[in-house]
Amino acid sequence: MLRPRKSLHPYNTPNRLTRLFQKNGKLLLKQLQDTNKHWRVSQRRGTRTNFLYTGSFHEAIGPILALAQCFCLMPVCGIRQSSAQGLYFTWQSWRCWISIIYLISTLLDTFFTIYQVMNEMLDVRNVEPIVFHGGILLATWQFFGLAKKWPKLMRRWDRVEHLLPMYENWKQRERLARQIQRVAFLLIGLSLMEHLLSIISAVYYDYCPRRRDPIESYLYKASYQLFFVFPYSHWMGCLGKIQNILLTFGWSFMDIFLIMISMGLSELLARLSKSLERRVDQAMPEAYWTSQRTQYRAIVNLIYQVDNAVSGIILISFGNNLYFVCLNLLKSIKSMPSMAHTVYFFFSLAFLLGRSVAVVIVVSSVNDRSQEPLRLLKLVPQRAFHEEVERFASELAKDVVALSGLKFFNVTRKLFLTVAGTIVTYELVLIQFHEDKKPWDCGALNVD
Amino acid sequence: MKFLPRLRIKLRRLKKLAKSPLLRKLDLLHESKRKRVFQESCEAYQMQIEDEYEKASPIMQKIKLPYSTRERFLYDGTFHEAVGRVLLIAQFFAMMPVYGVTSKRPSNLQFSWRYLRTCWCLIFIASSLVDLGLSLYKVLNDPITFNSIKPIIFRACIFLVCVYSLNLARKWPKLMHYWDQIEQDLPQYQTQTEKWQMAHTIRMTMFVGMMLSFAEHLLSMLSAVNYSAYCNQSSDPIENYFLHTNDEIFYVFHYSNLLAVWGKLQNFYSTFIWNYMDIFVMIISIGLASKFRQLNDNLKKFKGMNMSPSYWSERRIQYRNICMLCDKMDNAISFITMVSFSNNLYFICVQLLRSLNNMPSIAHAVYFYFSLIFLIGRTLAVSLYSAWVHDESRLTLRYLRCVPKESWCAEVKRFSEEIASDMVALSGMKFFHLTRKLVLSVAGTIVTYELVLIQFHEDNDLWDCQQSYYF
Repeated sequence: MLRPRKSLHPYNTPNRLTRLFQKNGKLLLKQLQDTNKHWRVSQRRGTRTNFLYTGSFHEAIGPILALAQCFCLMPVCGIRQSSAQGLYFTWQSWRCWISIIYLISTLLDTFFTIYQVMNEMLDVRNVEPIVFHGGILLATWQFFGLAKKWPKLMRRWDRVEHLLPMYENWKQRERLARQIQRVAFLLIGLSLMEHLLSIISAVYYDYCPRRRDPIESYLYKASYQLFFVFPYSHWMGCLGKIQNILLTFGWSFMDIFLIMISMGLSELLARLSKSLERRVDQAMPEAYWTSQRTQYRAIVNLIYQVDNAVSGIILISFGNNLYFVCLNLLKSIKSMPSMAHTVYFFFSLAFLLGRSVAVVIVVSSVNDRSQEPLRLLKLVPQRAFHEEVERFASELAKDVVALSGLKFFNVTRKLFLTVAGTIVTYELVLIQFHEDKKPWDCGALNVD
Repeated sequence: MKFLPRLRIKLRRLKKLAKSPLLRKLDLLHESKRKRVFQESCEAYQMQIEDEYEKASPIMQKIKLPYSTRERFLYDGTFHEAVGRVLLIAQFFAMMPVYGVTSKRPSNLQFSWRYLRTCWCLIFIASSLVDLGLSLYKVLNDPITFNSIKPIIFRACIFLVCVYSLNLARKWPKLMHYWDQIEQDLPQYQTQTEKWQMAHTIRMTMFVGMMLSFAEHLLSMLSAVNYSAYCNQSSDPIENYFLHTNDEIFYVFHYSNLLAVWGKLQNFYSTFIWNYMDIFVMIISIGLASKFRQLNDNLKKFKGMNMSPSYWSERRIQYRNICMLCDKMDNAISFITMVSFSNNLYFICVQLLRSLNNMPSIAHAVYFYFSLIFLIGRTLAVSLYSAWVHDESRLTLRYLRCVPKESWCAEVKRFSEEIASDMVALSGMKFFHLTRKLVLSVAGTIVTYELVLIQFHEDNDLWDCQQSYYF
């Protein structure tokens, strides 16, 4: 809100005040009532749950990382500790060993897949398993590297959080954790549902059974790259299936993790601009602006550090999403053999599209939020426009603060349209080469 | 002994007087403010020191101190010294004929038309011109396709780069002298390891690049031998091989051993120069980027502290100097950059298109995929190294953002505004700047062209005995 500067009359200040009160009395009263209501809403009986949240990012992301560790990702110890001080990484922990074993098994699986695909003709469609496996292998490797940096990163994050203005009430404290967990569990649930649907569609309509027993046949198909080399055995089928589930989770978790990180970062920026918003049209002293600028700088430095740590994952996730969206759009032209297949396919396509869009938008929100204080700084009244404000404004105007994909591209809102345009271009070209070559026929297969 | 303290006071005053009065006043003002602030921001400072210590401690444990030999202590970390041997190798291959590249000081550098290396370079240029003419003649006699102009582009690039490098050699002594002046102004490195870093990176780049290109050349010879046996134009296997690799010569002339040896030598030299132009761009960018890094390391050391305005004006001038150096080097080498980038773009497109074909033998497949991967890797390395200059030049801004309020002065403001508004990067004849974003756009361009080219692609006319695939 922009208010013109009021003329000051130093001689009749009391009179002026009285007039002001008469004029704005009702408004003031209403404001007071509003704050009272707000305060009352935020009051609750002090139970244990009220004091559960401290509002830190470390605490918000804890349960999700714990879940990820069940799927052999991010082997860092102490994620459920009350503060980031408890985090540490060590090679002598079971999480670490499980992660290494998973990494090795993914590597082997990737080799088998490459071997199997190389035996057929290479095509945009046929390399799908290689891209899937390769992307997840790289991402797992990146997560392992990230786990080593995680304790230091979180401690830094904690320090920045302490610099920022305090939370006012329990509602604000639990907001971040609630939001992050809600989004993450929604996405994980959806990815689980997608996987179940894929199982159902595979079992429900087994269009070319390779083996007599339906379960065997399913396991055979699920890890075809293994049985391309080895003869069929039950335990190997089960191991292959487990590997498959882990891979599918890892595939979705890349995106979920990025969403969570950027939600945390944009929450920090939002907190800052919220506190700025309240003070911006008042004449604040220069020291206030210094402190605000320092806080903003601390957040930006944290963003740079986080970007260094996760930019590899961003590149992998964006590339992966681009490829799979292209591929699945191309596939959607084909006719489906059964209802179950149609439901599964369109559900998975919608999920993929939704997830990709969500990642781009949430990650680019960091960039949007970082520009917000600039808009507020324009409202600073003239008598309070110190040199510090000018410096703050010029810094805001000139720096690009955004997460990036290995610095090759900055993730901003504009990227979304660029990527969409790219997808359409490639799609148009790919459709030209596309022949509907009856992928649902089985050829001459030996059933044993 | 009463006069001693007095003398000390006098000495101190004399020392102060050595500075200009304006600077003295500024520093005095600054000092008093700094004291005040230091008490306030003691905690922040302590945190900063702890942070730095945390960062430094694992690195300190990892670095093993090397044996101290005489050479190591003699090394003073200049670019001229680092690049000396690299240029010497290039001179064996008829590029950059400057005298005195391995001397200690750049003042010993000189160029003259009468030196043996210059003559050698001129001879090579003449020979590659003849070669270019011959291959032009051969290609123009056949129908022209995207594939068949490959030898022309290859040889034309080599010729252009050779001529240009001769031109660059004439400017080189002056450039190196300028570089040396700027280098001496920069904040000096404290340890030998830091001084040694740039030269090490440059030499490793050269070594790895050369080894890989040598391996590629050997593989190409192997596959050519294999292929010539398959095509079998004459009875002698050696003759067969030369008929194959230098088909543009024997398209005009009859076979003779002398011509064959000339063709082979020409071929070998061309391959080297083809790789060397990329490596040269990389080396120059490593040099420039490490100069920026030298400045940044100094700024990092004093990050978040209260420094005097004279410190900032000194740094700003140094930064400006490096920018000017960057501009000068860019003017000098931007043609080579342009040739190298367009060359790489064309060759990646051709090779990717060719990868759709079936290979006639295993030797071909190995050679082909090795050279494709090498080509892509080299292109990526050139783009990333040359983008490093831009990245490193932007990094300075981050340190300036952390300047505390008390030492924020007009100089710092000017410095940060200059960095924010300038574009410091190597360029391809100013058509494009080499930044990390270029990599993605080049990749996008390649994919687009490839998709278009695939449409017009027919499988059958490749790998016939009439066309040349080897350089």
